[in-house]
Formats: sequence, C-alpha cells, structure tokens
Amino acid sequence: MAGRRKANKMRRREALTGYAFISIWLIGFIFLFLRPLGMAFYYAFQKMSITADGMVFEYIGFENFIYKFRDDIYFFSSTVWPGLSKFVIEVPICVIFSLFIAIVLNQKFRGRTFARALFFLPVIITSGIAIQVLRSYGMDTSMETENTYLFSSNGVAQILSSAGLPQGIVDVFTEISDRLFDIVWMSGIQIILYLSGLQGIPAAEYEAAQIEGATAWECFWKITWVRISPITLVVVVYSLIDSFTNVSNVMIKFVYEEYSQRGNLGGSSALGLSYCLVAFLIIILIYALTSRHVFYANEN
Amino acid sequence: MSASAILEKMHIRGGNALADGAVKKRFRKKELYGMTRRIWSLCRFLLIFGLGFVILYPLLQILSKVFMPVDQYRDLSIIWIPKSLTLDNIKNAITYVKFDESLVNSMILCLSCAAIQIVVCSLTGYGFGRFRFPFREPLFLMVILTIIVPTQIIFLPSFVQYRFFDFFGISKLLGLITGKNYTEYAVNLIDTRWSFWLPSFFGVGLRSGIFIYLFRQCFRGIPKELEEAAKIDGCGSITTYVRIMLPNAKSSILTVFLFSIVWHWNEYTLTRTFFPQKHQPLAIQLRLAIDSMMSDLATRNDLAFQMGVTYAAVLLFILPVLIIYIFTQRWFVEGVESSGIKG
Repeated sequence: MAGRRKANKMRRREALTGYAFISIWLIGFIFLFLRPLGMAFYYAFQKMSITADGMVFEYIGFENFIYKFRDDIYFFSSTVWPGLSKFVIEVPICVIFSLFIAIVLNQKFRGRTFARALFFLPVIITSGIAIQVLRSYGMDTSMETENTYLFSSNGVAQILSSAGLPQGIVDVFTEISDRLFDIVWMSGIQIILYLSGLQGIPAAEYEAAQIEGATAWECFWKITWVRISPITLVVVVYSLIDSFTNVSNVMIKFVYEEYSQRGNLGGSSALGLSYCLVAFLIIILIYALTSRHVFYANEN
Repeated sequence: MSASAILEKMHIRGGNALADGAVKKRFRKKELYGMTRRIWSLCRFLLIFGLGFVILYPLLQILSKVFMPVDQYRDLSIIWIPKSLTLDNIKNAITYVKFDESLVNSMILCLSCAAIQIVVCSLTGYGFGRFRFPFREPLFLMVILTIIVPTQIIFLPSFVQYRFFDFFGISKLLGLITGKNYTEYAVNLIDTRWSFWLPSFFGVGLRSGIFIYLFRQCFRGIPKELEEAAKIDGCGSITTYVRIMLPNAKSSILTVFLFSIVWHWNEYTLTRTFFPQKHQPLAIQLRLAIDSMMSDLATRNDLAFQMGVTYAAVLLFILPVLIIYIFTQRWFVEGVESSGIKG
C-alpha cells in the first residue's frame, strides 16, 4: 500500500516537472497561437468591410466557405485539388531520393566532405525569396538550352519512347526529370535527417551480417531500412508539411492573394482554415498508418 | 540487445557461411567485388557531379552575370565568361538594398531569435521527450499543429494582436477596471523586434515546432541511465538538463542554430507584416529594390540594368548565410553524424 502511494507520488512529481518544462510553450501556444487562430475562425464567418469608422464585421454564416466553389466552378479542380494532392507524387519521390543520396553520401570516398556540403547548400538558399526573385526574372532553372537538350525532358522522353517503353512510364519519367531541380532543392533537410540517422546505425550490425554472408541488398532491407524507419517517419511528416504549406503551393498562394490583393479577409480565413483541417487529417492518417511499421531499437 | 540477437531476429540467412569450403569461393568473389566496386564508384562520381551541377547551376549563373557589364548580356557570343569584369552591378545593388543598414537588421534578428529559440525549444523538447504526464501526446500533436498551420492564415490576426498587445489580457482587465478602452493600455509591438522575440520566447516563433520536435527526438535517444545516475548523485531536473542533457545535444543545438538563422534570414511574409517601416531585413529590401527599379522612370525599361542589379542583390542576399555556412559546414556536417535524431 505504502509502495503504491510512493509510486503515485513520484508519478505526480514527474508529471509536474514535465508540465513545468513545457509551461513556457503552453502559455505561448494558448495566447500567441490559439488566439490568432481563434480570430481567424471568427473572421471566417464574417464579412469585413472598411468604413469611415474602421473595419466593420457582419455575420454571414457559411457564405465564406462556399462562395468560391459556387462562383468559380473550376476552383476545386484548379486550386484545391492540386494543392492537396501534390504530396502524392512529391513525398515518395522526395523520401526515396533523399534516402538514396544520404546512403551515397554516407559512403567513404574522396571529396566526401565537399559533396556533403554541396547537397546541404539548397537548404540555405531555397525556401527563400532569392529563388522566387530569380524565377520572376526568367532565369531558367529547367536548363532548356540547345546545349543541354539531352538533359531536358523532351530529349530524354523521345529517346525513351523510341526505345519502345510504354507511354505511362515515359510520362512518369518526364514528370520527374522536369522537376529534378525542385526535387534536389527540396530534399536538403531530408538528406540531413537521413544522414544523421545512418550515422546512428551501429557498424557492428553490418559486420555481423557480412560475416554471416548477407548480401548488400539483404543488409539494406534487413538492417538499414528497419533501423532507419524512425527517421523515415520524421522525413515523411516533414515532407508532407512542406508540401502542404510551401509558398509555392497553389492553395497557399490563393489564400495569401485572396486577402492581400482582393481584400477578402473572411474568404481567405475560411478557405485557408478548411484547407489546413484537411491537410492535418491527411497527415494524422499517414502518421498513424506508417508509425505502426516503425522499429524503435531502445524501446522494446 | 546484442548484434547477433538482432541478426537472429531479422532472419538473415546462412548461419555458418564461413565453413572451410566457402573460403576459396570467397577469394574468387573478391575479384568480382573489386570490379563492381570500381564501376559503382564511377557511377557515384557521375551522380554526384550531375546533381552537383543542378545545385550549383543557379549560383554559377549569378556569379557569371554579376561581374559581367550589362551591355554584354545580349551578346550571344558570350556564354559563361564575361569579356571584361565590372563591379557596377554590385555597387548599384548595395545602394538599392541599403546593404549596410539591412544587413545589420537581418543579423540582429537572426542571431537573437536563433539564441532564444535554442533555449526555449530545447526546454520544451526535454519536457516532451523525457517526462510522462497526462495529455502528453495530444499536446505534442498541438506542437505539430503549430507547424502545419501556415503563416498566411494567422499573420493578420497576429498583426492585430501585436499592434494592440495586451500582455495576455492584463490590459483588457485594466480597461474593465478603469472603464476605458483597453487599447489605451495596449502596447504597439509592430516595427519593433519584440514582434519576433516574443513568439520565439514562448516557443511559437518561426518554425519553433520543428525545433521542439528535433530536440524531443534527440533527448529521447540519450540513454536513460545517464539521467538516473545524475538523479542518484542528487541532481534536480534543471541541473540534470543543464549538466547532462544539453552537453549531449550539442549537434542538435548546432542544427537548430543553423536552421533557425537560415529560416529567419529567408522569411518574407512575416517580416513584411511586422516591419512595415523600421528594422527591415535584407529579404524585404531585396523585394523593395526590385519594385522600385520597376517603377522608376529612369530604369523601368532598362531590363539589362534591372537584371544586373537583381543578380547582384541576390548574391548580396545569400552571401552572408553562405559565409556562415562555409565556416560552420565542417563542424555541422561532422556534427549531425553524432546527433542521433531518432523517431
């Protein structure tokens, strides 16, 4: 009896210390995040108009949530769907690509430090205004000049189709090579995460596997893939979030311009919030599906 | 768990491949192995070279155009290397982006916010990673939520909040007591750096959620025994955190420091909203410079001049972070090796 009480007391103490550590964040979360979010919810049901007395709000129900779908029949197919479904192609490519590059960069070869530095470089410049500005000035990042015809997707696609590959595969390839620049520039952080994860796998496991006669292929699936699965989860979640909230996402662009250019605060809040909700649900779903297959070494 | 136990668990085939007869076979295999290795290293070189080209392409293009006199831009006989060099583009760009002033602004903002975020996010991450308490998982889901909600949705309510900052309701309370409008007691945080420091300090700053996540993963990976030993030696939780946990999270701290600097450096939407007049960092000045060039009568139609200044301005914009990166790069690349970010 006394033992249980003591255990209870310790558990309560631990819980209190835990709350103490996160208390600063909790205050900030409630006052500096939930409050603006609540205000955005409030705006979502109002019609804002600017009069001589300042901003005037008027309750209009769910009008802000539906006006765009009613007025523009192509809104769903042109903005909402591309914004939401971008991840279906982007995330798997990003995960596979960054794992592959991380494995290559993790090997020992001359100039490794330089190569690593090179692949982290996009993290510094990308996501910034620099690339946007350059693109607005027509700097071609797709590299379609006469000299690099072979690199451009048309050239490769023609070669592939004349080699007799089915059109479906060629299309996928074109898609990837068209976006090669974006993929490389998007995967910087994922590569860092994977690389740090690969460093954490004990070398002894590979040595033991080699002595037992496992091939590199088996080593990858039975050791690397299993051991790296926690990082894969992080990478998947990060890539999903990045795909949903990146400034280049059409839906995010629309939400921003709806307010900043057309002054429709209510519509911007309403559509933005519903978009977020759907994105959040997708992320939770994928998290729940993948986290079942994750292997934690020190938690069995 | 020992390595062999893990192998047994993973059912790797061939218990005793190194039986006597197999040794000769392995020697023959070794030759083949050497050749495949050479082919692989060639492929690896081509791959890294090719992708490196994709990464460096914009940078090389900027470097080529910046030092090229603008009248050579349309010269088709020049591909990468200019016929003569000039510093005019850079000089123009420095005046257009008010480089001296905006560089200092950017530096102050990035360094201070990075420092604040490291302290607060590591504390929160430690709380989430190491203690069991009711509602821990739902609360952590809320951390993820703060990353998912894009700034484009809440930047306007945030602007209103910082414009009439009421100290978490204290001003409203004073307003109720004295019967005046609460805005009389509210403070304007717009155009002050507090509009960035305050959210950073309370762990909801720019991408703070990601940093909390990173720190939580890092602290979860540190062996429990270390903490228990500290506890037996009589350390309180704060002492354990400062003396035991933080020294073990050095590489995560470094990662967060660099990411925080880079993300603050590149931030545009928020800085534009919170700094309409003063303290404008480089990212805003870069955009303003381009807008003013496009609207100015003297330069409006001179596309070559605009491009020259833009390339130079972009170079000026990325150069400081690039220098920071080059100096911390070795440290950073080696650092992540031992960070052990675990899911």
